[in-house]
Amino acid sequence: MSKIEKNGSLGGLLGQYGLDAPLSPEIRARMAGDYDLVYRKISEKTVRPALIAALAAWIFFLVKKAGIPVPLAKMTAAAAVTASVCAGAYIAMNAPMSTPPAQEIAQTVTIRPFVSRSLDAKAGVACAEALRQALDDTYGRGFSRLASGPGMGNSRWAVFGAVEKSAGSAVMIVKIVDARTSRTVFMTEEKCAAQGDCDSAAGRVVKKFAGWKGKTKSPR
Amino acid sequence: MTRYMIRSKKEREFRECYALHYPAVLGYLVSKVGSIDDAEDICQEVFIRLYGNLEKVRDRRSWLMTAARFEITNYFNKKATARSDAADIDDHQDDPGLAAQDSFAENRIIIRDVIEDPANYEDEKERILFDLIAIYQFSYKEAGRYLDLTRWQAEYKYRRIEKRILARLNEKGIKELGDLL
Repeated sequence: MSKIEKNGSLGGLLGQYGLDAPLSPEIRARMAGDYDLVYRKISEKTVRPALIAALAAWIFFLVKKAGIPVPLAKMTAAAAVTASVCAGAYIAMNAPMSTPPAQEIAQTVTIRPFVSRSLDAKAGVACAEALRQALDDTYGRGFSRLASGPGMGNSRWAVFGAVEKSAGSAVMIVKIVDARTSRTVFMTEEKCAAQGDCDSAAGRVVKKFAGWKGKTKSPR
Repeated sequence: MTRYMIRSKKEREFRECYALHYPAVLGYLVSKVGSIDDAEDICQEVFIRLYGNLEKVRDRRSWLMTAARFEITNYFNKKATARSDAADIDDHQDDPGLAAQDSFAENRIIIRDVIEDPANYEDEKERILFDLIAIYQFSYKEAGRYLDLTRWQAEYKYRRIEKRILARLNEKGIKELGDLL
């Protein structure tokens, strides 16, 4: 069942404009399964400081009730020390054992389906696929991938593009964004020989990209 | 005794708030972070913050989403990468840099404005229902389960919201949805 059939025309429209973020059935099932678990963890963390404060108050009143002659200044100092120790213990219990390792960004490319005002969505997908194929042919299999969701995985570059009809042929416009800095690092356009034939144009884009990439410090 | 009652009232309110917003907040986090485990950890942080500010917060959905975005930034900073989060990358689609994308970007902004308009939703529950079904692609049954609605109630409500949004798009000059699709 397609997205449009499933959620009506609006769901399809949001998908077309990249405003949706579909979650897989596995993720949705996990979310439902972890509903109580997450709540329990939140409760534990929100209740713990209150529990410590209640314990401290209970000890204070117990001491008062027992009639032990403790001056107010000493009591305040003891309370301050106890509070510091409790806070230290609480932070130590909750602090991660070590800083998580830095996530290495792979030297790969994620390509979003090209958009088009004058051609249908299939043309955009075909162009993206042609570009992916050309990149993989040049840099090896797995160098590029088509985006399947809103995130970029851990790709080094994101590719956005458009393909538009132009006097019997089509023009492909490609923009490459550095995923680390969100800056456009490369932009070009190529004319397709005919509508639907974007393979050769994709090949020329990759050649230009190779020229630019040669100047970068990329290991591949 | 009074303090206990205030506390239990706060906890009940928090529990209701959690039940209502959990799927949308976690769904948003998963879509941005990519890992369900990390998203759940961030989700906990967001709700713990909400618990501390429960009395002060009026628009809880907006507050939770802002807190979630803040925690996502912290998450990526902790990961010690200079890469920006996925939201920044997505925002590039609004970049008017590509002339051919101008119309696309304009339509995208219009659609986003319309779906963000609170006038389209009768209450917070409807807004969440819309997010779950239209954005995160939950089934009517799944969304209904979170919001205490039957599958049919969820579908009926969603169709009503959809009608309202389509009417708003119509007002904005988007007459034929097929053209955009």
